[in-house]
Order: sequence, then structure tokens, then C-alpha cells
Amino acid sequence: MAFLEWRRFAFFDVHKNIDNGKIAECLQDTHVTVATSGNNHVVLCDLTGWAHLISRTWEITSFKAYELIITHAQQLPHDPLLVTIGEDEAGVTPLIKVWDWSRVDRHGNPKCVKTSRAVPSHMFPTPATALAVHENKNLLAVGFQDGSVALFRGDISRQRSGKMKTLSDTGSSPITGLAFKDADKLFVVSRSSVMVCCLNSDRCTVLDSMGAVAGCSVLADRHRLTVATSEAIYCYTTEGRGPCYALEGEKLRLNWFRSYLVITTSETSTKPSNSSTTPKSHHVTILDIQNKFIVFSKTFEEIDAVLTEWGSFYILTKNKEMIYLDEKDLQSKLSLLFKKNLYDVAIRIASSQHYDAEGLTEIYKQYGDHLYSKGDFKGAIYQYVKTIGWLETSYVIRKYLEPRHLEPLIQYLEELHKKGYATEDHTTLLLTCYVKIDQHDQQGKLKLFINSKDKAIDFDVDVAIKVVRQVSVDDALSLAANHNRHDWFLKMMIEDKKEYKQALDYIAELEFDDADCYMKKYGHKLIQHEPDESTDLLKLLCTDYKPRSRPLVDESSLAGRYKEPDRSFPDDFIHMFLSNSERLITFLEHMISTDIKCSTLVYDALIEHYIHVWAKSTDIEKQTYEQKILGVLKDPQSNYDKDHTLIICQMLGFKAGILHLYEEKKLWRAQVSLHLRSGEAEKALAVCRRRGDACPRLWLDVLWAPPPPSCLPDLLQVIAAEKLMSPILVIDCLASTPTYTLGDVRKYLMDVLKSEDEVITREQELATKYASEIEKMKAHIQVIQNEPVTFQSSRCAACNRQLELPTVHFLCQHSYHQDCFQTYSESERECPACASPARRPDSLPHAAEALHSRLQQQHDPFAVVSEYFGRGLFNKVTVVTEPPSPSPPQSAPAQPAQAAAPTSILNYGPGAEAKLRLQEGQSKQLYVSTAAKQMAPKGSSVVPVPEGRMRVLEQQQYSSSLEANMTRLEPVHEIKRDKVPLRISPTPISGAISNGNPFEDTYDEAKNPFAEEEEEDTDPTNPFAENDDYDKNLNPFAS
Amino acid sequence: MAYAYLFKYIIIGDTGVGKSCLLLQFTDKRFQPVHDLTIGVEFGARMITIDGKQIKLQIWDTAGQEAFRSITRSYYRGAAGALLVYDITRRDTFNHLTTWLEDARQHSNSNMVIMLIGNKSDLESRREVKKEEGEAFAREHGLVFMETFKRECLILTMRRMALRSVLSTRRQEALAPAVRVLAVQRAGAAVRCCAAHTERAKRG
Repeated sequence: MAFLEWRRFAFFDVHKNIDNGKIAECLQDTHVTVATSGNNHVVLCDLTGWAHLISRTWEITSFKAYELIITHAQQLPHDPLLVTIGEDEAGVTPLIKVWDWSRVDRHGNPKCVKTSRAVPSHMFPTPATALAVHENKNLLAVGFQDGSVALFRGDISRQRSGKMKTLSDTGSSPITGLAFKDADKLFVVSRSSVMVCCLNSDRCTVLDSMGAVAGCSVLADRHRLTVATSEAIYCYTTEGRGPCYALEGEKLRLNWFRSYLVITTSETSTKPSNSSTTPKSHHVTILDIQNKFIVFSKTFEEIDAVLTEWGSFYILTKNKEMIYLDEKDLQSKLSLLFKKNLYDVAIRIASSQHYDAEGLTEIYKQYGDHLYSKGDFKGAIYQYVKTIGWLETSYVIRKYLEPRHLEPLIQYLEELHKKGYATEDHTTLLLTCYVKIDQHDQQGKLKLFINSKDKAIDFDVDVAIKVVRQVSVDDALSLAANHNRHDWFLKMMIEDKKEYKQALDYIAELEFDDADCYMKKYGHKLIQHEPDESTDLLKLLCTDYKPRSRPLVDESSLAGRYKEPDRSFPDDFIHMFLSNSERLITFLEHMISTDIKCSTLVYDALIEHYIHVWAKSTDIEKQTYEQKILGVLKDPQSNYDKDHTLIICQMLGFKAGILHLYEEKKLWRAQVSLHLRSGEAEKALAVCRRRGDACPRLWLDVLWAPPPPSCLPDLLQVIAAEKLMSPILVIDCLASTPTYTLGDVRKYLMDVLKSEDEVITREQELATKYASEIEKMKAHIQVIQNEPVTFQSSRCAACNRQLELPTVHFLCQHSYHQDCFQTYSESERECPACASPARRPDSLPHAAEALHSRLQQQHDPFAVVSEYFGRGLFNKVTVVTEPPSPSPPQSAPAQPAQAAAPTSILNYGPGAEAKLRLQEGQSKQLYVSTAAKQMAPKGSSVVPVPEGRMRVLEQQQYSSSLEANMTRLEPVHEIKRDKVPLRISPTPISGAISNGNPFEDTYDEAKNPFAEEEEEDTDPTNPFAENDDYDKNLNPFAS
Repeated sequence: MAYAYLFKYIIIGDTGVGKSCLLLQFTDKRFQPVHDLTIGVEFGARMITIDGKQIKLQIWDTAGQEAFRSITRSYYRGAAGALLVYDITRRDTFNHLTTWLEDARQHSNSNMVIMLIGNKSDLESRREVKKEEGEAFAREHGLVFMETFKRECLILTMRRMALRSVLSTRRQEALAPAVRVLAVQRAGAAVRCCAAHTERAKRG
């Protein structure tokens, strides 16, 4: 029968005589009738009515409980209460006694807290056969020989409390066992049946129609009644039958401890002969119900009791020997199992005892190792799989690296992935395994794996792709596509498959951002191989891209929401076209043709490539391209970099473009020189004609080129007309070119000579005129100096009436009534009639302002400045040193000029004239009053008269002298200027030549009174010697 | 846990045909390749929900060994159905079906549904009993027949089929406990059921 049993182990060690014979000593020769345990004590009751309370340290307290015998006893597990049934007197009078051994009575025995008759009063006396006490101390049941069950409710530790009733329907066969399940159910086991009684409704349900002998029923796990019969052990719940375990043998006793069922069977002796002589022996079997194996099995001598207390089992034999069954600890149990290679059992035990995960893993690992060593690789991998997360994966993988172990390895790796412990290397390994196994027997595992869209197995897609790519690009592609690894997909499509068109299609399906990104990445290759499609796609990308799969009109736009379409910058793609100028041009043309604003780069690239294409194309095409280029160049919206474009044009010799750009940038000279270099003098001239006004230099450039003779007449004419260069230099220049003939320049030379001639003539005329004027002036001076001036006008110059005293006379032969003069004159210094209509600016600050305004207005400031230099404006003002002493006014009549001069010097400054005038007036009046109607003295008349004129004359003299100087110097200046490439406005020069001097006329008629004086009068005190200085400072703005 | 019906099924058949496996799958939904010999009777229970009602299924897994026959016989009693299992890779297990069937009929209620199951059909390569033979046997003895292949799915269908047959054909007679529970759960309907049951019993 052995093979029909559960597996046997020996998880218990037997320690004999654990109590050192104390119990035997105590019991002596009587026999134990009942044994119970609880509350850390064991209670043994013997035939003589003694009860023995044994503590853990084997101290025994004995007391006489009954007079005759104790038949049943139950120690409550958590209270020091002992319930016994026994007999005090002969006959059938079972008595229930409840002992509280925490208290003692006066004899020092445990106190009996309750005594009552066991048999209810209405029943015939019958022996009690079973006892059950509920832990809550409120329920007590007694079973009787006649099959009835009495139930006591109420506090069992009190004498007077509680009710008693008899349960119905419990049959008539003797009750052998009672067990409370919770407070409302009572299992009743009789010889012939198993019942459960519901205490509240007082109803009994028969669970089974076979019973058990006394002691062979126990409540296991607090809810399951376990009943032993000779063939099996049956389990019952309150609802019905449970499992049963076949175990043959005559059962004597059942005990329950933790998860162990302890079965005591009587050993059937195989030798029937001397059965009476050989001592009876009992067999103890301990079942682990949960794990379904026998954890202990041993034959002992006849056993009186099995006690479960103090965390283990104790067996009391008939010989009063206490045997202790010591349960091994888990580690030793496991090592025992490992020794027998019973790893599965070990695992079961370990997990049932809540062994920690790490320990379990260790067992799994050992189990795996064991299976592996036995050659059960698949079985082993099952165990290894359970170690995932604890055991180093390399430990397992290393074992399975041989090709024949592929499948277990795959299984392990898959689990690893499922549990999320996989690293990149694991993925790689797994995929490699897939590949291998596929090569071998075409299971298509790889495909399966790749197509698992829901990612049943968690893995690093990138790694997977990388691995799969090495084996099967197609699979890798589908993997990449499944997991939206666009980058990988495209990479493989392009690099491995070289399916550029498909790659393009793929990109076209993507969202804008991705498409943009990948186009940037792979555009170069794509354009190389699929120029047309790529260009189209790029066009789309840069205008209004939409994934191809998306409907034309999506919901958001239908709903009225306008989303700014994403656009790429064409700049990013330009470099991709590299050598493919035609595509680039179509692309860029498209870009420009749309109304999107394009960057400079786009235009630059477009123009550059246009020019490149232009340079390569044939003549006919050149035309069209030229048109296109110029079209772009001239388009005001084109946003190109002119310098850049110019360089490109120059590099590739695109003349039209260069010219256009020169024109744009106003580089006419460069334009001209370009024309001249290419020998197109006519065009150069045309440029000159167009732009000559703004830039006369152009003409000279052409001249220096030198141009062909046919152009010369025009050129020379302009040069002559504009006086761009001195004729000498022109001729020098022309002479350096050997091809010119005299005929080419004849007209020019003649013109020049003629005009020179004219100038000379005019100058000579002027010279003579000036000479004669000088003569006149000298004569005039002579007159003024030596002859008196007669004031003989009879009429007032103002009112034109007869003069009457008092009068005011001026040297200019104007006379006034004093009243008239005061009325008319604006200042008493000057003659109202002769007063210059152009008022002189009267102060220096005005002069500076005027200078600045002129500098700004005049377009040749240099000329202005040089003019001022000529006038000595910027010379340091040299103040004439003071004369020794002012001449007294008394001497005025005698030496009026002499007298006036020192005063004027003295009063040199802004107010000088006024003071002079005052003196004049005084002297005049003096003269008039003293000399009366007489002829004024020579000197006195000389002094006042010229005052007003004098000023004017001075200015005139100055001006004309300046002009003269300049005219004289002019030719020299001209030459110099021409040699230096400086633009100088010709106006002042021409003005000088053309007699622009506004005072020329007055100059003619005026007589410079000081012309002579300056030369003759060497007297340092003469103010007029320094007149120039004076005037220059005071009044530089005559013109 | 509250339930509206309680049904008991018993799994019988020769030793080693996979009875315990069936039970394990049914209760725990797991497959255990290595299993110890069943000593005696084990049982598992599972709640299922049909039409919103909780139904408790109790499955009794018996030992197939001849030695335990006496013990297991007592478990036929009260079973609403029996799963008669044979191993398609072992001809003798099929041959013993008749004995098992007799046993079952003899010790159970006459109206017990019996379902014939050809187990281990995943081991097609070692098949010894043809599917047709199984079908023929089932027809002959009025059994429900199926071969198990995908174990979980098989359990599901088995359960449903058994249940459906119980519910549709012999609902009232099927099980006294079930009816009793029903009476507790749904008083009015249950009384009628009980009445019908007793009437039929009288007639029978």
C-alpha cells in the first residue's frame, strides 16, 4: 500500500524521556484515562479520580477531583479552567465539575467553581461519552451513551447560572465526539453518523451516515471536522462533506496541531501467534494536510495520550514515558528535501510557511540546477523563470548558450521581458535566438514577435530593430513601422533596401514635424536618387504640407478654426541639392512663386544656381536663363544679397548680372571699366552719358582707358565743355596712345586753343583796364590830397529844396538839411543817398554763421574755404600797436586826415566808425561854424567826405584783389587738381573767369583813395597801411 | 458567500487520466504538469455567475485507483453530474469506461448528467482512442461528449454545457440542495419548485 500513500518525510526528531520520569513517578501504577492541555499546562487524569496539572517545567500539581474516576476532561486553551466529568459515587451519576486552578481552596487544591449533574433531570441516567467546551466559557456540551446530547448555556465558572437543554434528532448510537464550530454550530459524531447541529435553530443535519469511535474526530483548523474511520479520514464542513484521505488502519486517536493531523493507529501485528505476549504497539502518523504529505511516521509502544502543547507534540506511552516530537526548523527540512532532490516539495513547504522570496528563489535555483544536471533543460527553465528578479540572469543564460538549448533560452528570455527585467542585451540575445531558431525550423517566431503590436513582450524596440536589421531587413522594417520608429525605418529603407521611393512615400505619410525632420536628415540621399519625387515633397513641405493619409479637409478646419499650416524653411533643404542645380531651381522657383516670404538664402541660392546653369548651358538656353536671372534680380521683392550675387556673377562671368548689380549699387565707374575691359567703348560712353552728370569722373575714366578714336570727339567735347581736365593733361593722355591721329583730336585742340586765346585776350583787356583805373585813382587821390573839396550843392539831397543852415555835408557831394538828414538817415554815419542797399552784416558771429551756411549750401565747400583763406580770414588777427598819443582835435583843421587816422586806430573796433563820425560831425560843425561859408580847408574837407565811400571802396578793392589773385592762380590750381583725382566744383573758377565779381562795376568808377597811400605812406601809424587786416576781420562778407 | 444554486459534480475515471488536472484547472485556472497521486477524494469549488445569479460549483475529484473505489463510491451520492474521463493516449482507460459508468449509475441519482471527456487531446501524436469512438460511446450511453484540447477553454465549455443541461432539462429534479437554497433565496418560486419536485417524486 505504500505507493498509495502520500510521500513520507521525517520532519520530527524524537526525544525520549523528556520529563526525566517525573510523570511516571507521579502516576505510579495507575493509568491515564484522559489527557488534555491548554493555557500552557497539560492535564492528565487517572483512574483513581486524581488530576495532575503539569507545567512546562514538569512541575506537577495533583489533586483529587473525584472520588472514583475522571472520564472526560477539557482544559480551556486560554483560561485556567478545567472542565471534567467524573463520578464521585458508584452508579451512573456523571458529574460535571469546573475547576479554576488559578485559585485554591482551603486544602490548597484548585478551587472547584461549579458542580452539576451531567445528565439532565428528565433523562435516564446514562454514562457520558463526550465533552466539548466552547472557548467563550458559555457553552458546554455533553454527549451520552444513548445518543443524546445535553447542551449547557451560561457561564460555566459559576455555580448557579445557565440553562440546560437536550438536542433533538441526534440519533441513538453513542456519541463519540463533540466539537463546537463558532458559537452556533456543533459537530456531533456518533458511532453511526456525523451531524452538525445548529444551536440557534436546534436542528441537526446529518452530514454522513457513518460514524467513528471515540477520540477519532477532531476539529481541524477551527472549522473542519476531521473524522477517522478504519479506511480513510474524512473531512466535513458545516455544509457537507469535504475531501477525504485514504489511510488504512484502525484509528485510535486523532489530534490536530497547527496544520498537522496526528493520527494514532494501532499496529496490526503481522505475527498473529503470540499476540498476547508481545506488547501492543501504536503507530503515529503526522499528516501535513495542506501540502499533502506525511511528515512523520513511527511506531511506538502503546500510547496513552498525544498532547499538543508548548508548540509541539508530546506522546505519553502506556509506560508513562513522555516522548517529545521536536519539529525540525525549516532550513533543516529543506536541506533534507534537497538531499533527496525533492525540490518541488521544498518549494511547497517553503511557500506554505511564508518563506521569504529570496530563500524561495534559492530553492528554485537549486531545483533548476538539479533538473539541468539531470538533463531536463525545459523543466529547469521553468524553475529558472521563477528566479527572475533575484537571480543573476547571466547565471541562467550561460547554461543555455548551446544551440540545442535555444527553446528554453527563448522561454527564459521571453519571461524576462514580460517581467520587465530585460536589458538591451537580453533583447538582443532573444532576437538572435529567434533568428537562429527561424533559420533552423522556420517557426516564424521572429515574425510573431515583431508583429505583436500590443507589445505582449516588453522590449527595447530600438535594440530589437538593430538586431533584426542585421538578419532580415524586411522584418526590421515592419518592426520599425509597427512601433513608429520612423528614423529606423527610413534609415533601413534608404541604406539597406535602397527603396528611395518607398522611403519618400513613408515620409509623406508622417506628421509635419517628423516629415520635416526626416527630410532634413535623409533629403540629400533621396534627392540624389529620386530627384523628382523628393523635390515635389519638399515643395509640399515648404508650402502647405499635410500627411498624405489625412483627409483634405479635417474636422478642425471644417469647424472654422484655421490653423496656420506648418511650413519648413526652404533654406534647410537647399544644401541637399548640392550638384543638382536643375532640381534646386525648380524647387526654389516654386518657393518664390508662392506668396511666402523667402529668405535671402533662397534667392541667393536660386540666383547662384541659375548662373551655374547658365554658365553650363548652350547659347539658346542662355538667353532664357539670362531672362530668368534678370527677372529675379530686377524683382523688387527679391531679397538677395547683392554683394554675394555680384561675386557669383563675377566668378562665372555673368555680365548682364554684373552690370545690373553695378547699376543697382551705383558703381558706374566699375560699370564703365567693365565695358572698357570688354572693349565696348560705346556702351561705356552710354553709361557716361547717362550718369555723367552725377559723376563726371566717368568721362575721364573713359579717356584714360583709352577709348577707340571713334569715341574721342564726344569724349573730348564733354571734357572740354565741363572742363574736367586741363588740356595739357588731355593731350598727355592722348599722346600715350599711339593709335590716335591728330585728326581725332584736331577739333578739340582747336577749340581749346581758341578758348585759351579768348581768355588771354580778355585778361589782357582787364589788365589794361585795371591799369587805367589805377591811373585814375592815383589822379583822384592826388586831387583829394592836394585840392579842396567844394560843397556847393544848393539843394538838400533829401527834400530837394534850398539848403538852409544847419546843413550836413558828405564827401560824396551830398548835402542835407540837418532835419532832413535826421529824418531820412537810418544812422547818422552815412549818407542816406549813398547807403548801400545791401546792408553789411555788422558783427563777427554773423560772419561765422554765414560761413557755415555757405559751407552747407555750396556744393564745393573746399572752394569756399579756400576763398576764405585767400581773404586771410583764418589768419591770426594782428592788432596794430597803439600809436604814441592821440592827436589833439585842435590840429584837425590842419591835418584832418592825419588827425582822423589816429582816432580811428585808437577806436579800432566795432564802434570805431561811430566815433569817427562823431569827430567828423564835431569837426564839420566846427568848420562850418568857424569857416562859415568859406571854402572848407583842404584837409578838413578831405577827411569827412570819403567816409561812406571809403568803406565801399575798401571792400571793392579787397574783393577785386582777391578775385584777381585767384584768377591769377587759377591755372596752376587746375593742373594740380586734375592730376589728383579729386572732384572739384568748377563754379568758383568759372565764376572768376566769367567776371562774377559783383563790384566790378563800382570798382570801375570808384577811386581807391588808399591805393596810392598804401604805397607812399610808410608811416607805421597810418591806419590804412593795415587796412586789409582791419577789413578782413570786420567785414569779410562783402560778397 | 451567498449563492443561488449549488451543484456538485464528480470527476471519475481511471487513474492517471488527468482528473486532478481538470479540477485544478477548473478551480485555479492553472496547469500543473506534475501531480501527485490523489489519495482519497479532493474537492474544489468555484463560483460562477449565470444570468446574474451566483452559482457555486463543487467538483469532487476522486482517486482513480481501484483500492479507493469503496471510498469514492460514497461521493456519487448527491452529485448533479459526473465527468467521466478517459485518456485518449491509453486505450485501457477507454475500455474501463463501462465499469465506471455502471458504478456511477448504480450509486447516484438516476437523473445525473454524465459527460464523457477524452482528456489529453493535446498529445495527438500518442493518440490511441479515436475521437469517433468516444463520440460513438457517448451516443450509445446518452452522454455529453467532448475532447479537451485547450484546457481552459475546454473547462469553460464543459462547465457551461453541464450547467445548461442541468438547468434546462432537469432543473427541479436535479438537486435537492440547489432547490433548497433556491427556496431560501427566492421564496415564492422556490415553493413551486419544491412542490413540483415532491409531486414528481411521488409519481416516480
